[in-house]
Amino acid sequence: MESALTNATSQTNFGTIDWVIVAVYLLLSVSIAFFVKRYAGNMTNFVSAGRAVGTWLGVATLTGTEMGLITVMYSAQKGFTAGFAAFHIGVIAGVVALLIGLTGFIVVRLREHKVLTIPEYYEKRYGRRTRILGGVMLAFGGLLNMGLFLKVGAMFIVGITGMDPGGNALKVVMVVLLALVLVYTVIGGMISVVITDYIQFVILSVGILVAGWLAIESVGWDNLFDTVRIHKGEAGFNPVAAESSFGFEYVGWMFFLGIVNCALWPTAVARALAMESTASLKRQYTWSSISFAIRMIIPNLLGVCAFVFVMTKAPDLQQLFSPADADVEAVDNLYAMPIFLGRILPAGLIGLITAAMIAAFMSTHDGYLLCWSTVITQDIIAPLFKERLDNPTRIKITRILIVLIGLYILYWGLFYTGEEDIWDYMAVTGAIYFTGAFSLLFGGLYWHRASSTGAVLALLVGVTAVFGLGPVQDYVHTYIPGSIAERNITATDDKTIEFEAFKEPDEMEESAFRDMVVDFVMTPFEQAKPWNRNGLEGWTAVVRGQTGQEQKVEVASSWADEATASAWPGFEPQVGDTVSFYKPLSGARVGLMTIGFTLFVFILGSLIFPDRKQKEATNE
Amino acid sequence: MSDELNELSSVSPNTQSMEPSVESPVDPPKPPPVLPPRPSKKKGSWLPTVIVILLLMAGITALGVIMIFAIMNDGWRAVLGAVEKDGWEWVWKVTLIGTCGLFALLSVLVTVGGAQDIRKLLRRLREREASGESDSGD
Repeated sequence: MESALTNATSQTNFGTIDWVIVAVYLLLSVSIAFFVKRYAGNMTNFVSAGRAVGTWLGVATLTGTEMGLITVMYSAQKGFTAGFAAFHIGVIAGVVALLIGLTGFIVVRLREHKVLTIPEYYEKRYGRRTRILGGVMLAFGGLLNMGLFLKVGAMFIVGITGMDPGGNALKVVMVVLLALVLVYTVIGGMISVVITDYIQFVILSVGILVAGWLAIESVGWDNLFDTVRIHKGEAGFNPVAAESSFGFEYVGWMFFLGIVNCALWPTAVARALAMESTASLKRQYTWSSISFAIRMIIPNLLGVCAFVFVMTKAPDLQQLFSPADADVEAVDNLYAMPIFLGRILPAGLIGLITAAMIAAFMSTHDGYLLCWSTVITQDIIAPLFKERLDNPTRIKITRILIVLIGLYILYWGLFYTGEEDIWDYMAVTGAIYFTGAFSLLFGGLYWHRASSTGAVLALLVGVTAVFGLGPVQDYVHTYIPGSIAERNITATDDKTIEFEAFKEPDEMEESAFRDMVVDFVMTPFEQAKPWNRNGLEGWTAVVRGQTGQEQKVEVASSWADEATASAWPGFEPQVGDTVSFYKPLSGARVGLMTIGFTLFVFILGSLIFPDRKQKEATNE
Repeated sequence: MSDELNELSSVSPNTQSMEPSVESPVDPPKPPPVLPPRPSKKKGSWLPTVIVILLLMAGITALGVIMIFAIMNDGWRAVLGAVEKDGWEWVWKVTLIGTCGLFALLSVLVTVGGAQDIRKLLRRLREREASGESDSGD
């Protein structure tokens, strides 16, 4: 399969002229960092560009940071897997950004406090311990969130340029990209970031619109919609259709993520805090609402076009991404969009698009590296030293942290094994931070009774969002309510395993307590009826061998005493092995549950443990 | 909550400078927590907001409808027929074309305005560098 993928990527139109275009762009970016280096002498200039960014530059830098290559890749992946229904994510993001721009919800009040980072606000509102804890949670969630950026970006470069994905090309590209970003972020700080963001905006906006146009032209406007209708049905258009992979729960989750992306996510908020005035800030968000929508909609479109191209015009790719044989493993669909672009774009233009995407990659990375390193310096290290660190020391620490974080994302990109869509991975990891942050910021800015105890509790509870990650659920699956404990395998037959039969329990007595409390708490967790035909269909079976090895597989069909999988990914189960079952919780469900939980403990903690000092101050 | 506290809140951000003096390692007196300001009674102009909303909505709708005319070349009946037959499909067509059109417009504005902002930013930083100013306010 790898050689087929190599063959597929090698059919790109990417040529020498395209390499020249990319090289010129990269040189330009690094030169800018050296040019503005002399202005990055103090922490405010280094982190917030001296709080002197005008509206249009603010729009460019907000778009540049939030429209990264990772955004293009995960949105294209969503378009590829879900069709036009994925557009709802971008539309909701745009509408929410517009509402925030018009109302100034959270961001304006935060800007009025003249803080550099969100945890710095925590200290002003809740005290130093909250700031340090908030900084730790922010760094933890943020670094996990950023962990796959480098790998996904490198996959794009490999896919579109025609390098060999099976060799070491991916690792080499990861290292080169990382080195480039580190150089100009370490040197120039936020000033070089906003200027390169501007250049990226110009190149990317032209590039992405042209790419979208050519993508539609390559598959045909009518064919685009017809093919999605044939292969995906109503679910390809309607995000709340019964058979859709989204549903109302997911749409609600996207609405909250829209607020997060604009008003809570530190990289976006850092842009808001760098604006010259609150009026500029509101204009920045109002205009950027278009970018917030388009940054997902056009990549979604590229993904949909790639899907249609694969299904109707490239039989070799269809075998790769949607093999007819269930035993053949499909290639990672993240490669679909870059391979598609590599085949349809002409030489020269493909270089421009690649430069634009690398620009997107770099502008996102610089913003994120700067943001997380600043958070660790300003909100964890500096408070621990009781603010005795001088400016040169802080900048030096920030620069060292930028390099260390870069090395971490290289490591994480190589070794993380989760199978979620990238967008869902990012939403869940980000939720570790933003579920708590929402309570703290919203409560702190708009509710006088918010207390530091409630804040600390909310931050700690936010960590439960980590249970939305596939590998974490695998690890703790026996504790997920509704999961079925291990039972011995008594016989095997090709893809079917047999075990002691499940028996339907006797009817339980009616109980008001059970109906009101237990049923309510258990609502988010599915309860299987494995004694029924296909009662475990869609559940995950975890087979543990006698020597301790483990594999998980989705149950294709089941009966009271047997379960069948489409294939065994690891090993053939044997008599004496054990099997347990659980229903994976979607990231959206875990995220929404975490939001509710954090708000609950925040309000409860604030009401039960109000801040004594705040009361004293109030009575003065 | 007293008004005095809110007045205190409005000035306190500057008491927590991010550039502490290196010469005075003694902890500064801890400032009181910053409480949310009371809602301002000063009314801002609502007209620009309404205009922006109307412009955005009109832009998306107009661009979408115009492009659908251009693509389908079959007038209102075809558009209404398409909506009736394929509601979601129609919604995404309008969204796609409308947002792309608006983004093209935004790109032009940002390209021109952003270049001017960069010049202003560098000039301001140069001035600050010359005057030895280390932080800025509004």
